[in-house]
Amino acid sequence: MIRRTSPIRLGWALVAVLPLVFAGCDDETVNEPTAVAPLFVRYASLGNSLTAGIQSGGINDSTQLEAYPVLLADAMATDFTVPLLLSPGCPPPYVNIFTQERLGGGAAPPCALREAPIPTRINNLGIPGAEVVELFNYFDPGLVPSETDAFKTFLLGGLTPIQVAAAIKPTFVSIAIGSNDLLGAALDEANAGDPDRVTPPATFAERYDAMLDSLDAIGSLEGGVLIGVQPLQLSTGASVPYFSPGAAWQQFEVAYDAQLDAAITAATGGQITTLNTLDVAPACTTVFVPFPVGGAALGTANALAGMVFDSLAQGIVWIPTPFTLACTDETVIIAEEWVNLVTAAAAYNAHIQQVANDRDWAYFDPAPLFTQLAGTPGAFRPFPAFDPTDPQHETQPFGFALSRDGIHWSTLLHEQIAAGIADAINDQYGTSLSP
Amino acid sequence: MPRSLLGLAVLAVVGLVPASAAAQGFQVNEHGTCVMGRAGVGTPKPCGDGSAVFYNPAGIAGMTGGTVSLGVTGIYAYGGFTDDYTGETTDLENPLVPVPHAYFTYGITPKLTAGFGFFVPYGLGTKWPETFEGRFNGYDNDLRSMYFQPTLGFKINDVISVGAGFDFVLGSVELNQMLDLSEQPAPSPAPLGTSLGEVGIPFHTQFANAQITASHATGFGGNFGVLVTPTAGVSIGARYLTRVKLDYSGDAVFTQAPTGIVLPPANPFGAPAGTPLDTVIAQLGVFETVLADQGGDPSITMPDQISVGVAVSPVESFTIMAEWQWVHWSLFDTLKLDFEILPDKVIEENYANTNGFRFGLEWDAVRNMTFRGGYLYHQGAAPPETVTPLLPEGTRSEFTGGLGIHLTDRLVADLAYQYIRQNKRRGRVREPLPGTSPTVELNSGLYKFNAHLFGATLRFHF
Repeated sequence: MIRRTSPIRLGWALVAVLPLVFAGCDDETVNEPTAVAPLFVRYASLGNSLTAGIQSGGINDSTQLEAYPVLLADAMATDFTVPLLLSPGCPPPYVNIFTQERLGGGAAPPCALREAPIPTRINNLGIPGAEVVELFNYFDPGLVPSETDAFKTFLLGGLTPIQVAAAIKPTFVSIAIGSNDLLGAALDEANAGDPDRVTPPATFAERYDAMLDSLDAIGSLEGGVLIGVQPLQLSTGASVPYFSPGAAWQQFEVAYDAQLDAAITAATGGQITTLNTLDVAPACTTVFVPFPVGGAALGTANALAGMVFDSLAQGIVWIPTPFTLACTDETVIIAEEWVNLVTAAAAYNAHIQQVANDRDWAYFDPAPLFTQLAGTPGAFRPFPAFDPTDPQHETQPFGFALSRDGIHWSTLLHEQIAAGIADAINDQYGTSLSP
Repeated sequence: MPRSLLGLAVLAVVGLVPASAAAQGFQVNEHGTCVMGRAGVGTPKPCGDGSAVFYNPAGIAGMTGGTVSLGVTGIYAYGGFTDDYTGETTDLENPLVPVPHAYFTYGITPKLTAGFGFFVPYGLGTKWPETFEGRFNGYDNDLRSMYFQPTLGFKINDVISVGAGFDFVLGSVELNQMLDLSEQPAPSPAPLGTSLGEVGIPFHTQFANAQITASHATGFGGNFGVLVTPTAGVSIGARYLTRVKLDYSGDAVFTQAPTGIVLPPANPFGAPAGTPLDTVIAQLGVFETVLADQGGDPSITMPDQISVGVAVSPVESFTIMAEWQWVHWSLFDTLKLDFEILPDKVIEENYANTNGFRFGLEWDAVRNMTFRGGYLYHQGAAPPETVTPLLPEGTRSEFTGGLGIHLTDRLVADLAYQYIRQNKRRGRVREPLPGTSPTVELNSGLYKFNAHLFGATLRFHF
C-alpha cells in the first residue's frame, strides 16, 4: 500500500527546512588581540621618562618608538599604542648639549603637538618626571612642581597612568619607577642631593604597594615585570658621567690649565706663560658635581679665557680672577648625600624585587647590564666630552650608552634593556621573547 | 459603538511607547498577531482581523459586517557590544517595548469595504548604558512613526480585488549622545585648527550631553494593494507602501557632562593644579554660546515597501504561504541634523535596499482553533561601515508560531510568538573624523542582537 504524504506534513517540513536553506550561520566574530602568548595580549608599560622615550633631553615620535616598551611589545607581537608627539618634539632633543641646540634649530616650536588623529587607547603610560606616587596620584602634597608636569596632560590628558591602564584592561604590565624619587634630590638646583627630597625607602615601599594595589583593582592582570632603579654608581666605583666626581674635575682642571697656559704662551710670544680661569676647590675631592653645575663653571672659565684673548688682541693684558668651582653643599652632592642616594636606590630595588618574588612576577635589575657596559670602553665616559675637539663631543658626550643629556638611555641601551627585561620575563614565564 | 470604540482605542495606543527594530533597518512588520504567527505573510492572504489595511488594502474588500481589532506586540530586544581589544561586553538596556495596532473595517456593500488602521511600521529604540564606549554615537535613541490610514477596498469580481489607503504619518524622534572634548578646538596659544586631542585630551572624553527631541513631524503617503484569486485555493497578492519624508522641528539641548578629569599642574588651560576640568569648561561659556539650547531639525525618510506573495491551500483547512518583500532602504543614506547655531551635521548611513523572504503556514487543526507557524529571512540594510550603536542591524532569521482561538462566533483572540536571531555583526563605536566617510577600519567590536516578540490581538466581528 502506498501511503501519500499529507500536504500538511509537507508544509511543516518545508518550514523546518527553510532556515537551513536561507540562514545558515553567518556570524562575524570578535577580532581578539593577538600576541605570542595569551599573557601579552594587552600590555601596558608604566614608568617615567625612560619608559616614555625621552632621549637627549627631548621627546618625539622617533625617540618614543625607540623606547624599550615598544621593543618589548614588538617582541610580544601585541598591539601597543604610543601617544606620539610630532617632530621635532616637545621639547625637541638636543643636537648639542653644550650649545643647547635642539633638533629643528631656533625656528622649531618649543613644543610640537600630539600626532593626529589621537589614538583611541594608550599602552605606553610613561610620564617623564614621574615619581612612584604619581602613577596613581598627581596631587600628593609632597610633590615639587616640575617642568615635566606638563606631560601629565600632554600625554595622558590629566589622567594618572593607573586610570588610563584601567581603560585598556592590561593582562601584562612592566613597571619601571623610582629613579625620580632619587633624581629629584640629585638634580635639585637649590641643594643638590638634598636628603629631604629623597623619598624615604619606607615611604617608597608603601607607595609602590599602593600603586600595585590600584593596578590589581583593575582585575585584568595576569603577570608583569618589575624593573629596578638604575644605579647611580657603576661597578667600577665611578658614577654615571652626569654626576662627575669632584676629583675628576680636579684632574680636568690640571689639563685645562695646561691648555690655557700653552695658548697664552703662544699668544704672547712667551711673555705670559700662565693663565688660570678655573679653580676646583679642595672641597670637591669627595663630592659629585652635577653636569649643569660643572658645565656652568667651565662655561664661565671659558668666557674669562676668551675675554683675556680678546683683550690681548686689543693690546691689553688682563689677568682675571679664576672662577672657582667651590663645591658647596648647595651646588654639589656631598659624600653623605651620595651615600644616602645609593643606599635609597638599593632599598628601593630590594623592595621591588621582594614584591616581584611575592607575586611570582619577573624582576629585572639593570645593575648587571650597567656593570657589563661599564667594562666596555666608550659606554660610559668617566667625564663628559667638554672638549669641542673630542670626536664624541656632539654625538656621544656621555658615552654611547647614554643619550646626549647624560641621564636618559641611548637607543642602544634601550635595546639592551629590552633584551634584559625579555630574558627576565622568559625566565619567569617560560616564554621566548627576543627583542 | 464602532466609532466610540475606535476613539478609545486610538487614545489608548498613542500613549504607548513604540518601538524597536524588528525587521530590516528600523522597520517593524508585526502589526497583526494573526499575520505575525505566519512569519508576517499577509499580502497574498490577509487575516480577517482588519490588518489587511496594512498588509494589503485589497484584502478588506468583500468583508461583510464590521470588524474591530486591537492588539499589541511586545518587543524585547537584547544583545550587546563586545570590544575587540578588552573583550568586555556592554549589554543593551532596551526595555520591553509595546507596539500597538488597531483596525476597523466595515462592509459598505458586498463589493466595497471601508477601513481604518493605526500601526507603527517604522520605529527604533536603542538604549545603552551611559558609560558605554559608543555613547558618542548615541546611547538612548527613540524614533517612532505612527501611521493613521483610512482605506477602501473594492472587489472588482470574484478574481480581483483592489484597495488603497491614505496614510497620515505622525513622527517623533529623540536622539541622545555624548560630545567628545578631544574633538573640540584648543584654546590659544595653540595654532588655529588644533584640537584639544592634540594637546592631550584623551579620545572619547565626554563633556556634554546632546539631546535632540522632535515631535509632531507630519507626512503623507499611500498604501496600495491588489489581490488575485485565480482559482479556488490559490491567491496572489501585491502591495506597495509609499515612502514618507518627515521633516522634524525639534530642540537641541546641551548639558554639561562630567569629564572625570582633575587638572594636574602645568596644564594647557593655565588652571591651578587640582581644578576640575569641568570647572574650566563651564567658565569657557560654551553652554551659553555655541552649545546654547537651539533648534535641531532632523530629516528622515520612511522608505517605501513592495510585497508580493502567494498562498496555496492544498486542502481547505491548510494554507502554505510565501512572500517576498523589498524595502527601499537606500533612501536612508544620511541622517541630517540642521542646527540653529552649530554647523549642520550629516551622518552617513549608506543603507542598502533589502529583500525579505517569508514563509508561513496556517492550519485549522480543530474546531475553533487555528495553528500558525513560519520562518522569515531578510538581509541587513546597514552596510559594514555603518553598524553603530544607533542601530546595530544585520541579516536576520526569525521563527514564529501562533494560535487563533474563536472564543465566540464574534470574538477571536490571536496569540503569537516570534524569535529574532540576528547574525552577529562587526561594527563601530566611534564616528569617523570630521570630513571623512566611515570605513570598516573603524569597526572595533561585535554586536549581538536578538529579540523575543509576543503578540496578542483581540478582534470583534459585528
